[in-house]
Amino acid sequence: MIKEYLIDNLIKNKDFPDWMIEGRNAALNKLVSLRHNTKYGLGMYPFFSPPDLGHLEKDIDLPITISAPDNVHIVSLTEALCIPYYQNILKEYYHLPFVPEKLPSTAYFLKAFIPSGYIIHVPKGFHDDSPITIDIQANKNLQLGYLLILADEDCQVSFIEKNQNTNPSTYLAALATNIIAQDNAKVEYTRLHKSVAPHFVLQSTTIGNNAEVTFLDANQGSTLAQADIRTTLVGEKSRVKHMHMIRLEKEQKYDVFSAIHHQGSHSHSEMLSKTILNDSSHAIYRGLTNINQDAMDAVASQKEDTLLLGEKAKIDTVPMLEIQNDLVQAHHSTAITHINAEQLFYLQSRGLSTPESKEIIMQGFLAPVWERISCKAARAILLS
Amino acid sequence: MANKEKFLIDRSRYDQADTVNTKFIADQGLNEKVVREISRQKNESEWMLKKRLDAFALFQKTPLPNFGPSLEKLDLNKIVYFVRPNTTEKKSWKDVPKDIRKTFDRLGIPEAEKKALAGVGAQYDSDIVYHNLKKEWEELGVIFENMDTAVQKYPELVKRYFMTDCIGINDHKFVMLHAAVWSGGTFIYVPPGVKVSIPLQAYFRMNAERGGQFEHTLIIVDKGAELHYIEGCSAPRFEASALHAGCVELHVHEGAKMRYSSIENWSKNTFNLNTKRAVVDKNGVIEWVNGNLGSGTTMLYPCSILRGEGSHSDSMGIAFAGAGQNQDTGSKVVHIAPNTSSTIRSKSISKGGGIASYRGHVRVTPGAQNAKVSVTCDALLFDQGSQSDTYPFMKIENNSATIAHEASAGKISDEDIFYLMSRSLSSEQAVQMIVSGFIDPIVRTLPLEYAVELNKLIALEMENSIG
Repeated sequence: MIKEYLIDNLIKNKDFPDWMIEGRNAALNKLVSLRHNTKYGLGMYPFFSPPDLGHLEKDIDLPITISAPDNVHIVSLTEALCIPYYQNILKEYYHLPFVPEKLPSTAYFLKAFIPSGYIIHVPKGFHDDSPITIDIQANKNLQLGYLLILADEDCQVSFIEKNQNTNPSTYLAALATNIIAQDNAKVEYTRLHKSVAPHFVLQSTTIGNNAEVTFLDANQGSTLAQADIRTTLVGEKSRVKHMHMIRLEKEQKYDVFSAIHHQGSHSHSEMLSKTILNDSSHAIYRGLTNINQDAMDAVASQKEDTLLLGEKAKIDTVPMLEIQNDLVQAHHSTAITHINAEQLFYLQSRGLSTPESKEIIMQGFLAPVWERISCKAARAILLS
Repeated sequence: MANKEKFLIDRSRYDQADTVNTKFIADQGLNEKVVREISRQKNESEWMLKKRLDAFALFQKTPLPNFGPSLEKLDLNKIVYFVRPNTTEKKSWKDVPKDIRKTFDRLGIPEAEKKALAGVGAQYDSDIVYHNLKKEWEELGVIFENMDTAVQKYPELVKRYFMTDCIGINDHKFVMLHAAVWSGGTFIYVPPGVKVSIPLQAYFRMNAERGGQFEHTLIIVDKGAELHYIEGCSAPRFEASALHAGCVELHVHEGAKMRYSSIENWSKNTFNLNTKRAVVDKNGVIEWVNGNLGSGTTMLYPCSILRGEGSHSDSMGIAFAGAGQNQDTGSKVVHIAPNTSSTIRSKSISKGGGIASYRGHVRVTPGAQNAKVSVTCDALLFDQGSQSDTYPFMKIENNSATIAHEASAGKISDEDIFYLMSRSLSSEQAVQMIVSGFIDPIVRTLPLEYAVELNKLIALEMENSIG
């Protein structure tokens, strides 16, 4: 029944090339073979399970609204598959992370059933301080989408993606994103989400020679979310910052896997995560820095800090390092604590109420993350 | 002066071969018949036989672990699970691998000890070795006995503690295997308030069941008592058998303090899949000191369960992974009671393509108010092809906890080597000195002879003069 749906709705009606159909089938087979959700080890279970495949509707396109200057090319996935240049790029990057890789089962579901999406091509030498905005507003039971962002050589661009679904009856909104930063490109990507509907993001970023990507994932209170975010530093002197700013309350849950793979020599990565958990919220944070044997002189750092405020709040955290080259510098640190009583007292003694004092301390706690964002519009949203 | 004689050991007494009484070697592979035969030969009570059989049933239906290094090459059907005591096998000194013999020479291991470690000489009779010391302990009420003997001599005490609330028989596949076929090991009981001033050691405790690979250590330190126990030695143990699946259970009662030091250097054909755990009661303290040098594949994660208020765990470990070795080690701590604290300090060295992984687990349960945890992992990579991985899992369910973890990986700084060379040390001497400094926090907690041996062995590995 599942395969029939895939063939009838996604393949017969749209001209997907063979390589894409092959990839979808592989993802579907993987999904079906997974009898239960991935267990991360030692009692950690992801919150998500893929939707019941018997409930798929006919129209599952995720509504994506993109605002960009005229010289940025925005092409639908269907159109891009007819343009040889974009087809070649899609062929190389569409199935990243590769299907055989160990992904959450929802990722295989997404990879099998993506119906549509867009390519955003930022041309060579593009330079604009105004960000390109991407608005995602799921309005149906199940919606899936795809974005490929191609930052061409020497461009400097920032993006703000907002996912603020307020429809509580949405079953799942999921997005697969490929970001390609070509040589000397500089990309800043801020994802803001505060969705009442469960949502899932699968992101794969590839960074070329001397290129740099700064990525901020800001969960401002999504009810149930999962993200699988992987970056490969392919080029020499490539750089990436993975930043996570997570603020949950009530019974909100977030499960994030953030991985950086160093392949190019002299590559540089920084992973910084700040999490505040109130009430009975729960976060699972897994960070992985992998430096392969060819990545000479790589420098990598990971820092994960959590403020556990709620009495029933919980954090599962796994900061991982896999180092296969001796000519590297890699370190990580994790701290889990509560609001410092002395700091609180200090502010209260200056006439601030307890909630005001706590809020100031929390803003200070989060500051190292948003301070690394240069896009003023993104900062303004984060601080609001 | 009259007492001086007590402290001179006549080593020639160890060169005599033991008398062979009966000979029994089980066939390769494991089945219920072998388990029953083990229990029969030991003349065990019904409760122990039942435990073995229950464990065997679980072992048969439990899969191998799905994490960590590959265990593909471990063929459980080819292992001999039981060799009766005093059975001699026709093995000669020339069968011992050259690298092992060379290491003994370089470490200055005496002749008789070399042969015992290599399994070619007479087994030591612990009564001879510990005869004088045993009297002093007996006066204090300390029991230091071979595990098999303890099962017969102290059945109620052993039954209360043996694989009950510390390590259950259903813990994981290799605990199940151990529970089914365990043999030999050490039993220690320290009565309330007794502080054993000298470290007890099991260096020579090889006279009993030749199940060195499934030995069970059970130590109970009663209220307010103190004990330091040392197991193993840094000289390599040569075993034809490829599997070491021992168990160490420590019970630290209220106000008691226990330090467990272990240096393991199994030969490189060995899978070292040991399980070590301590349960700590109110205001109790457990200290783990681990050195993992040998074996081809190691999976070893000493665990502390802090179930009493105010209890504390301190774990220090060094792992060395040379060519062909995969040391997957770490520490686990579970904070259950309020006001508990733990520290974990782990150091690893990878050289010649070796893989050293730190795999840790810190859990703070909802009832563990004010838990404090500090974890530090440092890894030195010597060359291209060597690998260092860090997988520290932390599950925190109480908002009053304070947790700090940090790790770093890299090579020896060229500047540090240059500094020492400019003080007229050779580059090899400079590297050795830096490595000694790197492992010093662990080494300094060991008694002198262990510390000297460990430093020597690491130095030998650095020279690449072994293997």
